[in-house]
Amino acid sequence: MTLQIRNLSIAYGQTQVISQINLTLHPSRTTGLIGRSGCGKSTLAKAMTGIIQAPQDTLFLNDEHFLPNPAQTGNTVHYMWQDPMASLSPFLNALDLISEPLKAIHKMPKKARQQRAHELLNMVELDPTCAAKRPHQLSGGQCQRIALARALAVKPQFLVLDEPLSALDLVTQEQVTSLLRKVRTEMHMGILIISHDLQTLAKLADDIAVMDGGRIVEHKKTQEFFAAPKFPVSQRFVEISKYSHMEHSN
Amino acid sequence: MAYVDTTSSLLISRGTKLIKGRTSFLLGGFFLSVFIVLAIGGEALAPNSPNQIDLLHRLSAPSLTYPLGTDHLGRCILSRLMVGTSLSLGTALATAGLILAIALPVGLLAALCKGWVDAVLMRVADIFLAFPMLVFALAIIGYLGASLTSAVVGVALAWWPSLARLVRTLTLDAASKQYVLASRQCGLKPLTIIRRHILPQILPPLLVVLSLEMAGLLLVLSSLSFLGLGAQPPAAEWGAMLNEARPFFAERPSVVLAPGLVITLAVLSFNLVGEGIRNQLDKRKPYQW
Ligand SMILES: Nc1ncnc2c1ncn2[C@@H]1O[C@H](COP(=O)(O)OP(=O)(O)OP(=O)(O)O)[C@@H](O)[C@H]1O
Ligand SMILES: [Mg+2]
Repeated sequence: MTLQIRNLSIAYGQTQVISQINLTLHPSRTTGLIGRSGCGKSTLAKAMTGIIQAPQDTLFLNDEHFLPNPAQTGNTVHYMWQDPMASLSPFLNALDLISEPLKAIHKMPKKARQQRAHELLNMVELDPTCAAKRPHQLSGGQCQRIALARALAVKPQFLVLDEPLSALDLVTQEQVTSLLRKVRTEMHMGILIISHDLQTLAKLADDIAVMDGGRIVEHKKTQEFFAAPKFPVSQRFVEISKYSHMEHSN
Repeated sequence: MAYVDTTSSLLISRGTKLIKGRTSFLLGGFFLSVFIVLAIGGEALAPNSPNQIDLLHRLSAPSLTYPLGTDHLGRCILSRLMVGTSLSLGTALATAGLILAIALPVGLLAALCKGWVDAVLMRVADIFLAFPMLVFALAIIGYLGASLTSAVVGVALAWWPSLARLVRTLTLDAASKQYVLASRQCGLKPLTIIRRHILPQILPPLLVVLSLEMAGLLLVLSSLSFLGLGAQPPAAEWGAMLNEARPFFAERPSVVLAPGLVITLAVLSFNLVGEGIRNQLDKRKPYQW
């Protein structure tokens, strides 16, 4: 099962934001997407998950035409929003937020749902006291982890994470990173992770794609990428993250 | 000593804090609770039976037996006003409920289905809105026959379009929130999304508007009863009492003034409470849901 993007272009009105993107996601594999702010990463992620409509003949699931639609294909390709606070309902507490997909998609009975929700909270390193709190009573990083826990509760075939670690401290980042590594293999998910931070991608991604000006300019295996970044943007990103280059040789 | 708050000054400062900026709300709330008590226990509290005719004392001045005097049939005005509370406020509430029952689904459907559903529903609402409200209500009452039920139905049918438009606007805004989209991705069914994520957003402002509309409803319903198109005699209803008393205004003004004053007071208290709730909501800080 693969999710394939072929020649995808998106324009907001007259301005072309992404053009001729080709990208393939595989199960149990993580692709990193890096690029400067405003280059169109979120737009690509939203288009491939149906949050904004992609033109026909651009998305393929197992070589078959695929038109994502949030209401129906949320458990096939799932988008975790860049702004976690805004993507969590202010009327529900953390536990209910995580329980929602368990009930709606997986039809779990109440007991099992609660237990699983607590497990997920624990998996994303959240304190049990957060369970009864609503988003505005939580910190940005806590909200981010609740959004991640909810995305994992959905258990989609392909998960698109838009800056899932941006609000976390380095220690928590480390823990969530290892969680995501575990998830990839245990849940057989194909993951696309968007980040500004090359170090994070180095630890997580099997391959790295670099976006610039709405195009994917470079897409390589992670090690090859760090060994020989070809384009100026890629070189800059690698250069800047060199301070901790030791860790990249994994 | 000067630094120490005495208990009484503490109580006073607490009191002023509570009242500050809420005087109108508290005043309205006080009157409204009096009306609610009367609506529930009017019959038991009334000094006389509301329909007891005493032809020897018709149009009498206030006295100990008849604190507000009597009407043209010698019925105790105070008792009729007290007993009439439940009918008068009840019909206004029922009308508001009926309006909400029409406007809420129509507005939600229009906003969430978009496309031709939206276009059709809103054109229908426009057609209803194009008629002057009272004329429209009168037409429906003319068709159904004069009774309190047809007054309620007529007013509700004339009144729903403006509220439906408001529901539609509020829903459009509510449904475009990121967390609503996010919950669609989590597989929630449309009805669940409406119940869990849209209604909690739109109901508070709607209830404020409706509480303000209650005043208008009370007036329209009383006017209809006054015109003889709503509650029918001998029912003790404020508007109908006004209507019945009309010919005797010159003889004893209080027969007309008493129900008029009560209607004014009820309208005022609904307005004050509605304004108060709105002020409270306007004061909330961002992120303090
Ligand atoms: N709804 C929209 N209407 C018009 N233009 C938009 C819209 N959303 C995004 N854009 C523009 O499209 C471009 C790409 O935006 P996008 O959100 O995809 O960037 P990004 O790569 O995710 O940036 P960041 O790293 O800051 O999140 C930006 O220049 C932005 O101004
Ligand atoms: Mg973005």
